[in-house]
Amino acid sequence: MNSAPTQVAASGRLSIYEPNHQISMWGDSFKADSSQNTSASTIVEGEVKLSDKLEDNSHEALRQSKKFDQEANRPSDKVLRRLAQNREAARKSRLRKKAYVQQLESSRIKLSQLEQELGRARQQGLYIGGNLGDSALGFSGSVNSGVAAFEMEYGHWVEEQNRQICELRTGLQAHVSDIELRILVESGMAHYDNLFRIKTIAAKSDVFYLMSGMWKTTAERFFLWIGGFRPSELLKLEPLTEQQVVAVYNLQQSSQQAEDALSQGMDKLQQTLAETLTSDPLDLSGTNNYMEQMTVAVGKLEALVSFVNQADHLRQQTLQQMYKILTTRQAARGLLALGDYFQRLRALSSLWAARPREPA
Amino acid sequence: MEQLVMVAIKEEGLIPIVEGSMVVIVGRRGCHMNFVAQRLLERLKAYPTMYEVSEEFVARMTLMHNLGRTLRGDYKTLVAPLFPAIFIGGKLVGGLDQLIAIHVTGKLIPMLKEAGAIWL
Repeated sequence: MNSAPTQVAASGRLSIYEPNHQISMWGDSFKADSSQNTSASTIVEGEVKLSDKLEDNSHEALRQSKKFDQEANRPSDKVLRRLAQNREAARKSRLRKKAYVQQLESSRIKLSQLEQELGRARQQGLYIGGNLGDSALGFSGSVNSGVAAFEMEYGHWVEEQNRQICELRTGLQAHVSDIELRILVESGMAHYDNLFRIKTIAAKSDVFYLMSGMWKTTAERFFLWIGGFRPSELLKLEPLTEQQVVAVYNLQQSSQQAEDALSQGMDKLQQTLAETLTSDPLDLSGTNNYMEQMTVAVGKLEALVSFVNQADHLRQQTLQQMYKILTTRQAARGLLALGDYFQRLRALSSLWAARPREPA
Repeated sequence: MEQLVMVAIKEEGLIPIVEGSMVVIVGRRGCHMNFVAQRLLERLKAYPTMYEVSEEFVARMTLMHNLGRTLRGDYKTLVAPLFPAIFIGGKLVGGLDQLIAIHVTGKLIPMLKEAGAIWL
């Protein structure tokens, strides 16, 4: 018990005494030299100088530290602000990067989804090719298999048509025999019959799809008439005998008259449909009236199927009659001209799509 | 099909009407194909008589028509509608597609002339 305090005291005493000890040593050294006045004064001077210097040093240090403090204080405002701005900028940059990465991620997911859909559609045999382009993708996800089937078949039809046009051209240029030409003409006519056949089936499935012309290229759509080309477009014919001129003229007349009658029917359908849907909004007879009107309207829309069928029928009749009037060679030239015309329309659509555009 | 229509026409007592005018269009009420046939014939200066039949009549006709087809073993899914039925000179020409077909082949005008529906 005693040891502890003593120890402390002892160490304390030791530390206290040490400086004294040193001072006394100094004192001793002074005393030693006190005999020589100058040296003492020197020493004293030295001491003073030393302490002065010490003081100076401490002053300097103080001044330095003050100066440093001031530099830290005056620029510290600016620096602090800059630091804050940097932090803010860095934070914003991080957020932007995060947003960008998220966008990339979702795009990646969407892309893989589209690829899957495409794969599925290809499996179903959906034709996604030249003349259908973007429009086909819009339908690949749809439930309507009738439309998908039609698109596929129409795609094949166009391919076969192009092939036949080539054959007709080479055949005519090579002056093949009439018999061979006749075969080509007959397959050409049969090919058009095929088109009307698949169109009739498609009309039952989705008449509005046919009427929209989305299965055709853009330029062809410009000429659309009741879900297809105008029958009058079929009659682009040159050198004809006198007899033929009369017959062709009559055919043009009849075809045009039937075309007009159908157009008028379409106009009337629009009119009556609009009338069916128009009613007094303040009519208080209630929902019964509404349902009745809607049912009637739906019934009227059914008429569109008949219109498309009749229009296709007219196209077919006109083609067949044209074939009857003309000789084999003329019919071959006629079919070639017709096929060529539609090919050019399709090419025009592609050119239009690829045209250079000014930025919006 | 034509026989069927004729039988039904007889039953309905429409013979006088059909034979009473040079050109008659028998059609369903509100059917737009009636209108198309009418516009075409009027364009040729033949002014047809329009006769409307009831929906009940059409339903009966369609039923009989389908029965007949089944009996004949005709299972085509795409069948031309029975109406409008066009008569020229008291004789049944057929539906709208027949009318268009005979016009495009140049037979309609002679037929109309023969029936006295048009001159020149």
